[in-house]
Amino acid sequence: MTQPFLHVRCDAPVGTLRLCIDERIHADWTVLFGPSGSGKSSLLRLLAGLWRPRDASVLLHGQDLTLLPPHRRSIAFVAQTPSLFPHLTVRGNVAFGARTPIDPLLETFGLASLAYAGIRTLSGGEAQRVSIARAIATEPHLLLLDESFTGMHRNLRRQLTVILRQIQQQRASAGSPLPILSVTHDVAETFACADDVLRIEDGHVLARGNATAVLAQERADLISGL
Amino acid sequence: MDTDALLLTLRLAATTTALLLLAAIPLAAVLAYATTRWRLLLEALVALPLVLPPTVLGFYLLVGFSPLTALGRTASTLFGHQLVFSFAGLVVGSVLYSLPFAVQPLTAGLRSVDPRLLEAAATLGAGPLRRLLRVALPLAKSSLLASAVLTFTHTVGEFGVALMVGGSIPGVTRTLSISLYDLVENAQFAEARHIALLLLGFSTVALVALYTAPLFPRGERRAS
Repeated sequence: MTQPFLHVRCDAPVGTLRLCIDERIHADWTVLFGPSGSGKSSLLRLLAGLWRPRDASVLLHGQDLTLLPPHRRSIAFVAQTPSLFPHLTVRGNVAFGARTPIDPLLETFGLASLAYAGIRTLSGGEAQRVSIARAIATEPHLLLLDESFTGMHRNLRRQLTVILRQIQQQRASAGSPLPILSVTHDVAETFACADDVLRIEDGHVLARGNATAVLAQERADLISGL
Repeated sequence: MDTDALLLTLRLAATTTALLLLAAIPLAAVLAYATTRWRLLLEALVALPLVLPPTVLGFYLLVGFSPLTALGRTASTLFGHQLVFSFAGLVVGSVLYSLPFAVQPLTAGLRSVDPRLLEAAATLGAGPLRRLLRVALPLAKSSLLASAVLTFTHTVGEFGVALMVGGSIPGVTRTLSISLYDLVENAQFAEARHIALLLLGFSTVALVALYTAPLFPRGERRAS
């Protein structure tokens, strides 16, 4: 994408910091990069409608979502800790809110053999795959990943990144693109995923651009601060 | 054994439990999730029957449903007979008097559901009703069961409100506890002992089952 599809603006206190953001997002995969407690997750919660401060606005594809509750936004949110429904099976979780056949998704994410397994029997990586598959099954207009790959083995992270890129290509060729906004403080993940990087610290965007430029800027800042 | 009283008591408890569960689910959801301050007032009103003498509630129902009041006349038109000294009046009294026993355990259960699960459901497109029915209630099902057992048991043992609103009409409003009272008043202690033992046994078994249920959790399976 070249045209901005998302405009988010916020000037509100969150915890001990103030989140001051006014950004237009245009990339297929935008990475919010920065240390813990810098406001990245709050920004995702703002977009998902889970945090609704007074002085904030969200425009997605020209539609003002600011006053809409989370269930009317078509924005899927995958938290760092997978919030899977413990009373449902893997299949039941992925089917919750699904607007597309779920069997191909279970296959894609390697969950077909676990379809009828209980949630408490899953490993951390399996649970996170269920969480991401469940989010994609709702056919959202935007996918938010809040440190969703944290704690996963490198191979699994790479595998999931490839799967998500393939899904993005399929959605784009079907005329309903699926942009992704992900939060991380992992440099390797930033390089692997990002089309566009926003470096956030203390609630402000300090730098923006491709991964190489933004991380080089961070390195320069670090050295000048020594 | 007064079998009419036994059957009437079971019918009253079943009807009250069914009606109260229907009312308790939306009420408990409001108490658990609403952010308005009016919620606290509603919570206090729901808890009122816990401290209110049953005779006070019975007295107001007796007065309120008398044929002299608009409410009483409306109820008479609706049911085809006056509510006081009838089974329907007994049900209304029981529903009001057992309200906290149905609402409070369920409210606590809904509040204990992990809010992150409800947030996840919301971002998956589930509105408030679907979140309640598909996520919160299934996860609070033990609280729902507790509400049902406590309501049923409390209604079986109800005395003050039943006596004030229903009196003691055999086969119509005479419940087991009223039958027990009548028997003692007439010095028929042998039969009174049977009823007292039955009520004691029923309440004990119901509460022991409720409190020991968590000791027998259901297992989960994993597909190979």
